[in-house]
Amino acid sequence: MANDNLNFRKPHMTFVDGYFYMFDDDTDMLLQKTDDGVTSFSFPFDTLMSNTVDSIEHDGVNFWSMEDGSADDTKVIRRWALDNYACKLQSTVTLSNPAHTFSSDTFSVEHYHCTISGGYSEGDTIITVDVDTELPGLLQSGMAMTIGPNTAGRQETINIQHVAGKVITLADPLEYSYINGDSFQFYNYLWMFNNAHGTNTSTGALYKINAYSGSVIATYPGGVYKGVKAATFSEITHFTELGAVNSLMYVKASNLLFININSASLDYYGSMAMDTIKDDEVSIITVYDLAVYNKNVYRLQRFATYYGATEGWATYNYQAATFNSMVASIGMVASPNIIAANGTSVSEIIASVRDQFAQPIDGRLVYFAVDSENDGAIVDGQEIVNTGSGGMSAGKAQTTYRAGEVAELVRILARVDQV
Amino acid sequence: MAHENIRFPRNHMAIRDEYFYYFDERNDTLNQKVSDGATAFTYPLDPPLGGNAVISVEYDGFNFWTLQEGNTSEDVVIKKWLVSNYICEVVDTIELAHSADHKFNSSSFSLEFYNTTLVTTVSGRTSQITLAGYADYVDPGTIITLGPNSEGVYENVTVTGTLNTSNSFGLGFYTFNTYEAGTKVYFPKSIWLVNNFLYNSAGGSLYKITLPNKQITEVIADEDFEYVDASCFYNTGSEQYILYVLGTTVRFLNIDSLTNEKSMLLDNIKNDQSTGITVYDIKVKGDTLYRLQNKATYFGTDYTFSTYNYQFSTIRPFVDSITVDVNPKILPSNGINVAEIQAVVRDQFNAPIQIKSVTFSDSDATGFISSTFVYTNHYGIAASVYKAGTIPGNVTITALTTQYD
Repeated sequence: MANDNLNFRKPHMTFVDGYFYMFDDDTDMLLQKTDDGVTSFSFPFDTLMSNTVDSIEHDGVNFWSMEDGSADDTKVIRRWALDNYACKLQSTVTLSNPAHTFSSDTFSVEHYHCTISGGYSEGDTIITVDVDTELPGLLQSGMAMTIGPNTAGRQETINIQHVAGKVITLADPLEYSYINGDSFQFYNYLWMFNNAHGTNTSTGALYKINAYSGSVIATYPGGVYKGVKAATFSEITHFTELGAVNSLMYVKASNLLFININSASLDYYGSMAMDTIKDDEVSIITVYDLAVYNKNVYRLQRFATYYGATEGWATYNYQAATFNSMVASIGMVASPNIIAANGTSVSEIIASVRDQFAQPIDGRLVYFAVDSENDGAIVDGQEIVNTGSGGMSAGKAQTTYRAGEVAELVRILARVDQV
Repeated sequence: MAHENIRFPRNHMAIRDEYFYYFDERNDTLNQKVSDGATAFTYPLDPPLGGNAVISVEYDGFNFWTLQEGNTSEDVVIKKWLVSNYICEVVDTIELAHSADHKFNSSSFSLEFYNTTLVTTVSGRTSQITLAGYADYVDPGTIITLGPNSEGVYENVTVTGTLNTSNSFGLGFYTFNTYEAGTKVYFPKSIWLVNNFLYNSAGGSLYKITLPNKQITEVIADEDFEYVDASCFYNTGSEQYILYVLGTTVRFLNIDSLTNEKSMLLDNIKNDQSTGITVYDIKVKGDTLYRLQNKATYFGTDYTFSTYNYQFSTIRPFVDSITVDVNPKILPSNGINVAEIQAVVRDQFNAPIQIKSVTFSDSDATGFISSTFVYTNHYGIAASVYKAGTIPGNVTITALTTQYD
């Protein structure tokens, strides 16, 4: 079975409501594809593309694209909206400043999705939002919010005049009526992974940019931000101890890192191992773009490793990963790991079970077995052990191997079922 | 059964808990693998290695340390890394650059470090700590890492001097957090760098570089170090050694006396019994010495790997050899004459093993061995007597012993 799916010709992708999108500068179309690569629709641009798009995002309302500027060391980020069967340019941010070398392969848009509290009628200018996060700081005067769709399918985007707590004063009155629980969305900042900090190209930096004005709000230098090709922003709920958090995610090496953009030093909520390693077990497969939907992560790649064999394509295709905690590794150690083949000596075996976030998995049965040509064996009654039981620390299970009477190399196997 | 295990693409390794680690300069990651070679996790490096491959790596219980070549082939750079918040960051750098007095070219280094615990709870804003062990190795200026406490927090503190008891120390600043009694304590003491130069000339040496001041405090001249690819620190609790591989042996250099106190035979010899197998890195975990090799011999067959994999040796004394001698070796088959039998049991350090049971047997249908079950004495010798049979012929005396632990 061939494992290509989208067959995208450009190295960028976003995912909206079950469809995959690509900005095609060859045909000046926004292509909408189903997951088997069939083009289900296309939206002509109202402004012709001049460069190949590096990266795209969708904030729930708008598409965003990033491309090289016309001058060296500049980037252009555009906001687009689907309107009357066309993809229409809404705004353009040009990043050009002699104090900065703008060289980037990916960016994301910080955006929030919540609901309104109470019902509002046409002409109202004050609404209350049902949101856990304090809005001031995130949503400010001069920004825009999109409300709806309402029960009639109407939605509108209105500028913000004032924010106080969860109460929003709009610059213009509502055109339509809305009921409690209707959607309220807004974007505020762009986060660009730059291959320079200022003009220093020996390191990278994460740039926080006002999505409306294009002004650089802050820069966070760090080598880890250099060479990043895939990033996105989304609310994530899989860190159970954190609840729902809004995170900027990016791919570095074979991990997906989750940045807490509200922390001063941009701490990480976590990191997720991904199967982006070739079958030589060394080479890392480039992830060109990233999209998140619910518990799914979609990675855009030109290579993928399936069951130990790496496959390559001329086009870009998505590979799926999940936020659901899965058994990702079983670390094993035997102590001592050299014992006499006397039928008596024993070795303690410890298996450490972790998920793709490197977190220990407790309460999971580990099935121990011996790959031996002779009579060494796991001690009776210890073949199946629960992780975290018997005084072991989280995610660990212990058993005992008793030597056989023939000198040989013995391999202990541990199996854990996914649930 | 294939004999590859961790399948490392680089010839250095560190071991932490159930996982094996290497630094990959191509992807700028610290890679964590399980024992069958599957990648469990990766940590991006900050800053990147910039294509400068890591030569050797150490882990002190808290930090990783790497050795790289410096700006020239006569300089080396040692970096201290911290895995924190899913990133592996450089937290300190030691640059050993060539000068009129020294040149540096190394394949291996060892980190002398100590892990102990707090005796009493250290409250937040406290300026003294009491250690359960290794107090003799703490000096003014020593930087000690405390943690994790019950909230998972770590903290570095700097010792200023000894207080009223020998294992209590004053700190240069108040602690920021509370650390319960029993909290782990880590501190590196010295770097022991195997150098292919002796000062600024050809010749091997071992450099001791004390921490945290990064001063060269000892240079041990020995041509042997010119040929060392693998070394590590080994702490028995009472004695501390630098282990280094020389040919098919591991030598135990006592860091207090600076003498080689022990030598352990390794099974890194090819099936031809003459060609040695290069050991690229060694690490001790518990009683096991892990050797990183790209060749190995299993039960008489040589294997060559395209990657680097670990092989085991045990450090706990283990029956390694038993030899039998009979005196006299020729007896008349008269049913009367006797020969003394001696079996010598030794471990991998070539040291005698005491109080080890040896079972003797013979192939003579009419002769016999007086005591077939004998314990070894102080010299590892088990002795018995064979009494000749009445049928002329070759007689085979067999001595059998085993390890019970």
